[in-house]
Amino acid sequence: MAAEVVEDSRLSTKYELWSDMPDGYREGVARVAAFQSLAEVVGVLPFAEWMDRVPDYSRKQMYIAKIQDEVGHGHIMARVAEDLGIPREKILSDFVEGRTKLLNIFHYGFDSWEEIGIAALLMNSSAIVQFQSLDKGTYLPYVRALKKIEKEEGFHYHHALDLSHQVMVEGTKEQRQLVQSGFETWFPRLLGYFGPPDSAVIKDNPLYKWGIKVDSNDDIRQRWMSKIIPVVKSLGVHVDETVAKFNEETGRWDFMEVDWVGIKNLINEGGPSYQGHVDSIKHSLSSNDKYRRVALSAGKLNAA
Amino acid sequence: MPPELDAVYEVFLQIGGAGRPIQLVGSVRASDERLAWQSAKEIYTRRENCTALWVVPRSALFVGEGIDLELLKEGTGRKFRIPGYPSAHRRDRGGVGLMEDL
Repeated sequence: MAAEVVEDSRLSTKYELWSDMPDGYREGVARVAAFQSLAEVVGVLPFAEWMDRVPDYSRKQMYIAKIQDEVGHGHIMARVAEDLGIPREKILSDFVEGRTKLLNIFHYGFDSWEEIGIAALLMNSSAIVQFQSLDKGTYLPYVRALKKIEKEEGFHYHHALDLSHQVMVEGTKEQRQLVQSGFETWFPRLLGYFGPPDSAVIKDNPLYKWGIKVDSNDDIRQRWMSKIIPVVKSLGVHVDETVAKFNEETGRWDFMEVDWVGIKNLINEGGPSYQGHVDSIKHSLSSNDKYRRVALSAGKLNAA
Repeated sequence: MPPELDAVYEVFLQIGGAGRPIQLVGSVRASDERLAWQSAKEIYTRRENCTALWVVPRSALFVGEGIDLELLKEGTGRKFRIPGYPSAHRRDRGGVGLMEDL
């Protein structure tokens, strides 16, 4: 019998909802699922804002489909979190009341349609690469949810790619410049999305030890750059060497410095879109209350 | 065992045509089976070639107790069921009398 690699044993014990879990595991994965559920739902808002300004009908159809998908993802993740003890109402009220924070990328809106294509390309590709790592993890309901979500994110990625390509090929010089500046604005934000450098400390992270977190932030960030930089360049976007460059000697990407302190402050204090999102969610919690009550009380179980 | 929660339904999809397996994809919360089916359709079948959709109250699932997973492993352990066991001579019969020929 060949010796088993140590890494495999970290990921080889899988858990269902009703399995015996190590102390802290249940709460750890609950927080991860709840956080993602919130991200899926709030992540809709910067896009929803532009729904009435999508330039043509077929793009609008694709755009609305993407937004609907994301809300569905929020539902799927909320189910995972609910089973672990965090009700979906709490996920939203914790956000509205400032107890949970928002990913850095959702603190910003979009200034142009051209920016949306390239921003969505960077965001969707990041999400896909990250989920492809997390879906090797140990908590199976979360893994199943991720597999469903990943597949739909693939459609969003292709929509964003097609949109960006259209602007670069058919657009005016000014439009192409908006794509370029969109890349330069959003690339640093997405570098931050993967989380601070953690290779040195990952082995002590309980989420890593339990196999909920599968790879380090650094490794996923590298994988993302290997995927997205060639794509962005093929669109005709200029990627300066100081922004990202593959280092043949180390076999890894060298990239611009990320302002981690700035990102932390942004997350704690709230960026330009933050208050608007809080207000939107607060409003929908109260205005949709009657629909929630009907949905959960209609039906045979509650027939008087 | 799954915790009992009256309003939770497990969702099973069949993708790509009759005869294929029907697989667990996740769950929905709803107050009866019809609403559960509609929710599941909205949330889980958006971009699938879905040819069947089943919802089952979670309380109806019996998944076995912890030790039963060990019992399931017996299915792969019985080498004497492999044609030609145990000798190479038997396995190298030159393809005569294989199961596929029956």
